[in-house]
Amino acid sequence: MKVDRRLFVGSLMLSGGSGVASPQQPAAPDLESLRVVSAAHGVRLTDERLLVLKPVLESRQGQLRVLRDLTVGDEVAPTAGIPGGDLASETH
Amino acid sequence: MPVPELPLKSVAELGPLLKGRKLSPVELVQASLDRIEALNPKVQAFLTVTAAQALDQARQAEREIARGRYRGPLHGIPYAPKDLFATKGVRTTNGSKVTADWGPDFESTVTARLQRAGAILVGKLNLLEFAMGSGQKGLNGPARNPWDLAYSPSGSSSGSGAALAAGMVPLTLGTDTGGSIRGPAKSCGVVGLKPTYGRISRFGVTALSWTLDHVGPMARTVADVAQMLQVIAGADPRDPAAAAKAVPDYVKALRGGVKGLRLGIPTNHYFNHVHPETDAALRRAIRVLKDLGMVLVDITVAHAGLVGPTSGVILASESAAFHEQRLKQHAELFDPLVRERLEAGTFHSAMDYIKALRARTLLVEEMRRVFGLCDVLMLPAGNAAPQLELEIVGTDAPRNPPLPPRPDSFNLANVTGIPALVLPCGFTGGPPALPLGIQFCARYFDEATLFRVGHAYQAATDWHQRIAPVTA
Repeated sequence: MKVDRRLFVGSLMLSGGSGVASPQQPAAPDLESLRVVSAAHGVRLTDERLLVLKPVLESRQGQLRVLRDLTVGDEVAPTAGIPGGDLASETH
Repeated sequence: MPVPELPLKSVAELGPLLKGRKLSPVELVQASLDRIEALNPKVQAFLTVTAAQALDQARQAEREIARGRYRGPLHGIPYAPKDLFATKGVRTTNGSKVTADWGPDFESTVTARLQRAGAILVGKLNLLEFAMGSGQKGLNGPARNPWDLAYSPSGSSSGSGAALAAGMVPLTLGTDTGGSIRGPAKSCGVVGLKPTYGRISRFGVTALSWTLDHVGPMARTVADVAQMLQVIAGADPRDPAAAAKAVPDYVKALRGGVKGLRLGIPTNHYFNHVHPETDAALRRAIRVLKDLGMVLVDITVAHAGLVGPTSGVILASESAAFHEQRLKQHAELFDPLVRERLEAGTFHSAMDYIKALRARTLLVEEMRRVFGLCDVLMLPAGNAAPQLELEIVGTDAPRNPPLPPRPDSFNLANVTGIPALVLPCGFTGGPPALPLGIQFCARYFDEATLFRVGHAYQAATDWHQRIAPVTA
């Protein structure tokens, strides 16, 4: 698939892969961007499905923006599970 | 035929009757089945009823008790799990056409533990498809709220709440990924516990989002929830997330009282836009708890605005990954709304997901700080948005917007893994008068303190004793 630079950057913004998006202007996905991201993620949804998903993805942009704009220190590692046992004794 | 009222009694009342052979398990299970038969056509709480098997087990329980082999407080008690728990030889639908004919050849750890304790499975309960979201039709139509059949019992453990409110069984099981136990508990005027992450095994329970999913007990009283947790909690080698941590005596903890316990009241975020009736009920509950001797502490929860986005990204990403193969093979069998949500989840990047997990770290650290300042944190039970306070079930659920922001007051406990208990604290002015709920959260693995507070509150109030007006 041939993809121009503008489209590629737009697709990256949609999937959170670029830091160039303006915080005030969440990326509004267009159909071609959705095609690119879907293909890049190995899903390859039909245009019919992508049109159904477009408003869903648009509605999630605000939430995504909150996370993408969050600045965290290098010392903050991901928590996949919950380290429950330790906290129970520490906080009593 | 009159609708039997025996199943409206609590386990705390029924247990001694069964142990003392003043009540037969057969009589109790038959009463439960009769009540299900009479009310289920309206309430639609049950997807499957296992009458013959249940009566066989009741007769066995009767024989065992007669021979002096009483197994404990759940022996002979009828119960039902959300139809997301694998039950050997009993259809397990997940509320979905995708798995509508699944007959597991194994038992979930939790239902196996209940079986060993002598509890009797009487059927499987309605839910929202694969425990995902709200506003859907479900496999055989949605469960209805016994307080007013035009209203939703909330989801996704919709049948688990509705069956309790309708008095069909005294105990149910639910699952909670973003409030799916606590929402139905609030809407149905019953008690629901989302325990600490790792407190209860999830083996044999169909996943939605591995790091947000929790299994939990539901009942009409806090004491019965404590009794059920006593039986089902604990380590399980078949669930790597199940913690190898001792299970305390929850029933004994009920008598601990609350004098001197510190009750944290959030001063930010959680009471913004709370419906006036909910707000008033919560303020009354705070006064009751203060009168019981709790010490009120103002709490500011940092990063509260991160909870919704964090939960949203984790849930979307993990659920899309879990259902990847089913979506490829049977997409057309999914409820359109669930399919939308799952397919939308495939668009999240690894960057988004990892960022959410790092945000979770901040929130876990914040819980460590908060529970240094208080013993119990009080939150509203449910979405603070007034328009969703009473959710009318339509025959056609709205399709857009497909995923409203999930209520932060529930998601905090799922994202961080702290335990949370919901119980009734009032009713709307009506008509119809519908239940209102209060939520308490505590330190990791400190369900005992939640039970102390909840039990003391129920001893001082009578909201939990009101009976839903549903009739045959």
